[in-house]
Amino acid sequence: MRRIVARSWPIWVIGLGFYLPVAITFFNDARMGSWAEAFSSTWAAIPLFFSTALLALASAFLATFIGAVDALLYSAFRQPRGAWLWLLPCLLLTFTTPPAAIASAIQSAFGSTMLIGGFRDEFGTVLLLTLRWAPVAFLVLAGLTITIPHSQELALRQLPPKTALRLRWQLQAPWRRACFFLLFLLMLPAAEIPSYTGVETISRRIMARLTIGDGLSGWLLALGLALLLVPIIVYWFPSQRLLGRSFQVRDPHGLPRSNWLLPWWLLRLIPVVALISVLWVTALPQASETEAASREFLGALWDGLSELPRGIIVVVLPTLACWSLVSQQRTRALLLWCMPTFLPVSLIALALASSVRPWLPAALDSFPLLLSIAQMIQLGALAVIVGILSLRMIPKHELQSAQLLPPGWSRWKVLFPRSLPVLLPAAILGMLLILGEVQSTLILAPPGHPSPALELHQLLHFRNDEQAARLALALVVISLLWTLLFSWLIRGKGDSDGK
Amino acid sequence: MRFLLLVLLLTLPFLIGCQGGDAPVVTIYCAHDRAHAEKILDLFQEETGIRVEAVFDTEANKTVGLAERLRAEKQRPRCDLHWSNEPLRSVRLAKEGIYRPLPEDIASGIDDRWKDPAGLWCGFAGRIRALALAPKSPAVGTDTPESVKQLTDVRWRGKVAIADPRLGTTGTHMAILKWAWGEEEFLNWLEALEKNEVRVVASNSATRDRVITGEVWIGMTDTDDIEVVRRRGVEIGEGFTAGDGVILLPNVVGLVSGSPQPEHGETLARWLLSPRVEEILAASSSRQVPLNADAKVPAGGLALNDLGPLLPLNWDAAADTLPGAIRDVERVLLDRR
Repeated sequence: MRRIVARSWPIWVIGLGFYLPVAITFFNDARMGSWAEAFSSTWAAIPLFFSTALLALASAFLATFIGAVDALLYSAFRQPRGAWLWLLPCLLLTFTTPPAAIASAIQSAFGSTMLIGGFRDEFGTVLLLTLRWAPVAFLVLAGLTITIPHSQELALRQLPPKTALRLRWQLQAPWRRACFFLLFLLMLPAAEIPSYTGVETISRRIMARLTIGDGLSGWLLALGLALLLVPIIVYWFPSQRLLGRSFQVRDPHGLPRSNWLLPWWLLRLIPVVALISVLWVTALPQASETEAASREFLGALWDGLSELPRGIIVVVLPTLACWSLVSQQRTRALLLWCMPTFLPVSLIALALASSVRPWLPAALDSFPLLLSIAQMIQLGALAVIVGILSLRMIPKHELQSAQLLPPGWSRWKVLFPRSLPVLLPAAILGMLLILGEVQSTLILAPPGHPSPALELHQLLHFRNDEQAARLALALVVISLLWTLLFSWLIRGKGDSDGK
Repeated sequence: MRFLLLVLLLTLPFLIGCQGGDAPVVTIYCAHDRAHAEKILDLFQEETGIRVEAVFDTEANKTVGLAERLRAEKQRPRCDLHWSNEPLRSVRLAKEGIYRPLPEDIASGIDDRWKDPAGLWCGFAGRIRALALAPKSPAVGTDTPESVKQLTDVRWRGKVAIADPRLGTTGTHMAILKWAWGEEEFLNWLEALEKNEVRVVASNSATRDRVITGEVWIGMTDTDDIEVVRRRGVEIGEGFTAGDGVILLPNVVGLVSGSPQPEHGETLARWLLSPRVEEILAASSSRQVPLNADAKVPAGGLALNDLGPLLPLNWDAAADTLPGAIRDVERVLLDRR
């Protein structure tokens, strides 16, 4: 029994929170719905699969390119003084700030027409998706530089800067491809940003189906999306051969300096500075409204901060589960965790609300239990990647020694502390994602549960720009605080003193 | 195992959160704009001492909305009262058994045409489907279209915008047109609209903003979306489609069947359907049209009698056309682009 529990617990949440409710809900919808209509509307949506894929491909390509350049420059040169304090948080800000806050800034500055990017709807979508996901590419690719073998890294530092840069770019190539496919997968189910720009995607089509109670069409469209995703996930899934290859060199000793690096970073941070400036200017109250405005800002700040403890738990459980699965090299179980991240969250939330909630005691209705489960499931792919990375950074000989220990607590005691440098920053990022989450919050949050991101959505519609900007600013402040903590945790030796 | 227990022990308190106090509570799912509804609900809380726990909808096209949440919670509802901002989805919820009958003596000042014959829902404070008109454009003046059919005229080619026609009040508008005109005429109109290069944008507010910038001359939207920017000093024209019959979409109140606090739900329903709330909504920047004969229309507000001929509606039949109308607009206006 103990062995069964120890082996199965990492898939409890995903099994009971996703696969079982989804199966029940699909069965119910299939029983009630019209198959002919559902098939016909799914068939009609086939071109939409291609246009959504094209949108995701373009955005993933651009985001990967920007992230790759950032990661290359960040790892190949000695950074300006205190870079972890100002550069890292700012580079990550367009990802850690909820999209609604970015939309709020654009809307208040230019009107909602500019949400389309000012050129074409699809162009605006690609622009916003790229802005949002480029920091993820930067993080993944910069994170993967820790896998460059120690000796190779030291050799690179002996080369002339340009040659070293070229070699690093070549070394980065396989990771760039993997990162590109990861971003493509993450962007395929995008619904929020396309909804601001008025672009039709598969996820939006699924939502439109659900709003008229046509669950079966929604499920068939989701199935189509899954058919597109599964081969890519299986093909690109990092296998166990990638584990435990090398050890990082965090000391910047030997890295070249560059005069143009600082101007480049300043140029790169213009969108972030613009975002904060617009929010700041819009949020500034009239003299008569100062008190109410301060109250709104502080209230939003408090609501956001009060969500963080729950966010910690929401992030910790899937991260631990996936880390455990990676350490046991259970690839199929990891794939189970990956899948739901790439499907529209509304489907998961509705499945939980309709099939799991009736079985729970009514006393639990006041608690965000199901919301927490839905959000854990959303973080599945992130947790898998983090699990893999955290074990890859452990030196090969240490990992092999640990594998000699019996699986379970004794092996955990050796491996887990060595994984924390990756697990902790990832947990912070996950929490920031939870802070901006809207879709499952609307369906599953108990009445009265605070959610600044959801409130921001509601204010955006009615052009309460000032109030929305104050809320957005509060979210940006929280994001910045937590990203600072993140940067501090991942800063390399010597980054702080700028040697 | 020990670690697992430790994780569970640490987890539960955070998942569980905190409970509210002992004050009586009513839960409302509200699709009306938060800025206005929140003030009204605060007032109710002050006057009755019943704490209101509100879940507000987002603009429909960013998420699946509260109507779907009500469906998912049907087996064990946690909402007492549903305040919808358009009628057709409420009619469908009523047909699915989500609502229970309202008290018979409720909202006696509101005409029966705004109520469900079986008493499952009651309309109040409506808004009008309107055309937002770009100032200094040919759409303002004698050429202003009086029917949405005129939007297919070649002189408006590429100059008309419409919000995502599957969602919100635009979806309702489409279903009503399909019901009123019949399938063939409706499809012909959609085809003509598509040929005339109508711009489909994200939302009613985005439609209005494109009119303000002059990118299009005419936008199909709601009166509240126009009024809110007018009060900020923005110049924008407004036209009602009297040629089709003016379409007024009331807010709707429905009591949720099997809700946890049915009595408080009824108290809130009575309060919301009172003339006073309609007056507050009529005076707000959402400029709702009071439907209660006892409600006074504020200066600058819209009175039911001044709107011109309303399109007489059979809400049940129009609600039945909603899924079909949405599929039609999806096929003609979205899939062909």
